[in-house]
Amino acid sequence: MRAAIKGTLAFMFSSRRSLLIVILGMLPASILLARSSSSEPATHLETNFSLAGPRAVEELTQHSVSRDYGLAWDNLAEALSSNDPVLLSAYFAGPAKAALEGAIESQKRTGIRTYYLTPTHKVVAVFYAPEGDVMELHDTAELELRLTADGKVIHQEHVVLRYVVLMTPAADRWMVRQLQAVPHF
Amino acid sequence: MQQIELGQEVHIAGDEASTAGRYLAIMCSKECRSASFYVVPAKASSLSFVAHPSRVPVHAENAISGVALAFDESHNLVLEPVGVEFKLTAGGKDLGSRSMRTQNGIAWFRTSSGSVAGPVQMTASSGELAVSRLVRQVAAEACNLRVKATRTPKGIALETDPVRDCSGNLVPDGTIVTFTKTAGDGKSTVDAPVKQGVARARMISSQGVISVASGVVMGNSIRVGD
Repeated sequence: MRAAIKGTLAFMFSSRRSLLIVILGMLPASILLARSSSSEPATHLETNFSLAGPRAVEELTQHSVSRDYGLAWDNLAEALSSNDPVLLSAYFAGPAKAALEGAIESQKRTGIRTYYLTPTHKVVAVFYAPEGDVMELHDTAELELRLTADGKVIHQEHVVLRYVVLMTPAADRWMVRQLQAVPHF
Repeated sequence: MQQIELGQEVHIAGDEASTAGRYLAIMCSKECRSASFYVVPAKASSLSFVAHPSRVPVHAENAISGVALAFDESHNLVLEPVGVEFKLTAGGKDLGSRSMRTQNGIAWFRTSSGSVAGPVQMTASSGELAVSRLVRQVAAEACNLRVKATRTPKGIALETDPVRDCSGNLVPDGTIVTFTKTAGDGKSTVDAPVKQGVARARMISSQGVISVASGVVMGNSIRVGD
């Protein structure tokens, strides 16, 4: 980890003092209107389960994973734009939930909000465990990323983000346990 | 968030960015500028190992599977290939092993169960990291099921020979054995659990044909009469 960020960041600006903000940007796309319990997500997903192995993904499971991953993004977008970590509980668990809660806590401290606008997700399932208890997805999300600080836009970009995602089944849904942005697959 | 002076270098310690992913560094004065960078996982420091099932019949083809995931100390999934060895042992004896490298952070294997009932230890290891899980191999379906009958003052007492699978393993206690008596006045059945390898039952009427079965396995039939 240290090796990865050993480099320093130096900024030159016109005024004497500047404000540096480092923001955890691991979380991609979605829409402003998120839901925690609706049956179908508002987030648009294109999914491909044909490459998953060693177990083939059953049709019902394909539908469940697509729905729950989309709903997870709905909630994620809402949580980051409203700085409300409670919204994460429905579809996030383990390290993913902890990292997102940390990101929201950091946003609260700095007055920042993150908005994922007009996202599209192309999701490919690359691993499905023999017993069906772990699935790995590769998600390529294209979106407009906007950050505000105290209501003022401080960053906006059109960006393609890639995520490695681990999902596991819970009692009545699939949960996101790992959501890791990567430079490439 | 921090205030900085112009020209000042900003260092970010590793523990300030322990979650792998994309980061944005945004600097604002009259206007804001930004730069992005990725934090990648460090070397693997733990393995998560999921093994299935917890109980498996002997001689079951491809019935045992294990999935190992490599994580760094901050629980980021390590996506660079990592060597993982899966090993099965029972009673200190090696039953087999398989070496592979993780792909997308995951390594997995599948194997058939052995022929002897008892605990099997499955270990996933990578360098000095090792995680073990226990799988209990149990007897398969009963084989050569046999019943014998003894007349008693109130009817007949039925008892099986020790119920074993085709590899000679005693079937687990609680396995249900069904005794069926067919006589002129109809058919009656008694379900009895195996206890210490043997299933026992009593029937009141003392004549008819008695057969025994366990699951889909049929045993012998015997005729008893007055």
